[in-house]
Amino acid sequence: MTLFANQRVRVKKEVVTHIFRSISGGGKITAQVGQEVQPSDILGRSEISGGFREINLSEHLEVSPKEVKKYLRRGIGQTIYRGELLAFKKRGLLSPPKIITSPSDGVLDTLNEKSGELTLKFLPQVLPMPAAVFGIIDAIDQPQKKVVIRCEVTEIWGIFGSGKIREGILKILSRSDLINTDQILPQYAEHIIVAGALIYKDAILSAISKGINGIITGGINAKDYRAMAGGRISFPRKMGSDIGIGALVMEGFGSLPIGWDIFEALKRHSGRFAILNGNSGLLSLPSFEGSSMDQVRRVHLPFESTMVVSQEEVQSRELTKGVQLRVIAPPFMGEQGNLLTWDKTPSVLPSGVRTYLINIKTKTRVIRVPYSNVEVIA
Amino acid sequence: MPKLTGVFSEFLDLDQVALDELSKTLKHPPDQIVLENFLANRILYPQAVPGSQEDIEIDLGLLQQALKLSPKKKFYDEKSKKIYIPENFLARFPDLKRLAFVYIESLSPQGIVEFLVVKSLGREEIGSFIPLKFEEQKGKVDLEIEGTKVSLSAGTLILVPCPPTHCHIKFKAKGAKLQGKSEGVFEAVGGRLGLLIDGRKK
Repeated sequence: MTLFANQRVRVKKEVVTHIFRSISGGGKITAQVGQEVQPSDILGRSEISGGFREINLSEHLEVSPKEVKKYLRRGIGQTIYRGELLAFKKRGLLSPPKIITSPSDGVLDTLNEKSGELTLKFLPQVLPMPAAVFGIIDAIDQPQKKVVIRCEVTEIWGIFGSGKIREGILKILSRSDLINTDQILPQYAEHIIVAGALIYKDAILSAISKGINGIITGGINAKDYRAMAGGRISFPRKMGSDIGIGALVMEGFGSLPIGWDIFEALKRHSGRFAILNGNSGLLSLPSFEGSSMDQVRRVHLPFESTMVVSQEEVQSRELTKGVQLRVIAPPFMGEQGNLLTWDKTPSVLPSGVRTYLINIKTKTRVIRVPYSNVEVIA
Repeated sequence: MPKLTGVFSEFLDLDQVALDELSKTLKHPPDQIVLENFLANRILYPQAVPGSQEDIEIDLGLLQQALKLSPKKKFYDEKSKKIYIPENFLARFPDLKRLAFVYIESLSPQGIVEFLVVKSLGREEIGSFIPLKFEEQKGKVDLEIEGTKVSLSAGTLILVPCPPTHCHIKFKAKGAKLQGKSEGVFEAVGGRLGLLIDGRKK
C-alpha cells in the first residue's frame, strides 16, 4: 500500500539571494557596486531627524514679538549647541539681564514675528549603517537609498504571516511558552523576537508600542490573526497586510510550540541579524561565516529572480521509512519525528473514519497517527 | 504531485461560518476561541481527518454551516429535486445517515428529493428524503414500503431500508399529509442510504 502526504519546505539552507539594506532620512550611501562586504563594513550613514521645539522668546524676554529679533545672539539658519547663548536682554541697574540659553543642539530654523516664537530644529542624528552580512553589493538605488547585497542565507518558511519587510537582531524568548505582555520588554526594541507557542493580542500590541520589529511564534489564535490579516482566513493569501509589526506563524492556530526543525535553526542564529518578510511568510537568516562568500561569488543572480518572494508550492509525495514528519492534527499536533512503519490494513478510528495508521518516532516516544494527519518536512 | 486536499477545500468561505450557530449544533461545544482555532486549522490543513468522536461532531457541524454558505446549486438542484454528495464526503463522514441529515438541515429541501453520490465516473442513487407535514400533534402516518409496514407520529425522523433503483410506497395519513395528500401510492429512489422520512414539520 502506497501512502502519500503533503510535503512543505520549512528550512532551506545555503540559499544565495538578494537582501536590501536601506538608509533612512537624508543620509548617504558610501558603498560601491561590486564591493565585497563583511557585517561590520559601513554602507553609508542614516540621518534621523530629532524633531523640533518652539521657544516663545517674546514671553521669556518680556518684549513684543516684533522686538525679539534684536535680542537674538545667533542668526536664523545658524547652528547652536546646548547651553550656548541664544538671546540676551540688558535691563536696568537694579534688574538682572534676561539670559536665554539653547535647551539642546540644533539649528535656528524660523522666527515668527507675529508670535515671537523661535523654532529650533534639533540636529539630526547620524547613524552609520553596517552591512550586517557577508556579501557582494550588486546594485545601489540612490533615489530609494537602498543597497542590494547578494549573500547566503538560511530561509525559514512559516505557514503564514503578516507585515512588510523588517529587520533586526533575533532574540529568543521561548520555543513553547505562552507569551503575555509582561514578557515584552522595552530592551527588545528593533529586535525580532521568537515568542513561543502562542502570543496573545495584548502582547502583540505591547510589542508594537515598544518598537519591536517582528514576532515569530508557533501558534496564534484565529481571532487575533483575522485582526492582522484583514478579517479573512484563507490560504494562500491574496493581499498583504501590515499592522506595524512583522509576524510569522510557524505551525498553525492555537498554542503550538515551534517545531524543532525550525527552532534549531533559530537557536544557531540567536543574537544575529535577521530579515523578516511577514507577508511572504519568510524569515531570512544571513550566514555569519566568512566561508559563505565562496558560494556567493560563484552564484550570479538576476534581480528578477529575487524581487518577488514566494514559498515553494506544497506538493504531495510518497511516504517512505525514515522520512521526517510533522503532525498537523490533534492530539499530537506540532510533534515531529521520523516515520518508522505503517499498518498494512486500515483501522477504524473512534470518529468512525477508516484509515491507515503510521508509527512515528519522536524525540521522546513513538506515536500512532492517521497518515493524512502528517506533512513531510525534509 | 499535486497537493492533497480534503472535503473542506470545497468551501471557499469556510472562515465565514457563524461560530455561535455552529456551537448550537454541538452536544458539548468547546470554548469559542478553541472552536475558531479548530475551524482555522481545518482551512489550513483540509486533508486532516478527525480522530475522536468529538472532532467528527465538530466537523459535521462545520459541514452543516458550510453547506448553508455555499451556492445551493453545487449540492442541491431544486428543479430536478436532487441532492449531490461528493464521493470523498463518504470516506470522511462514514455515518451516511448523519451525513444525509446534515444535508437536510442545511439545504432545507422542499418535497421528495433524491440523494446521489457524485463519483468520478458517474452518479450513484443512494436514497430519498420524504418529508411529511403533520397538521395535528396526534397525527399518524402508516406506510407500507416494499411489504414492510412502518408508522410515523409527529416529531419523528426515521430511516427505512429501500433497495437500489426504487421502492414501492403505499401510505395512509390521519392528521398529516404527504405531498399534499392523505393517502396514495408512489415510487421513491432507494440505495445504500434508504428512505429518510421526516415527520418533524408541522
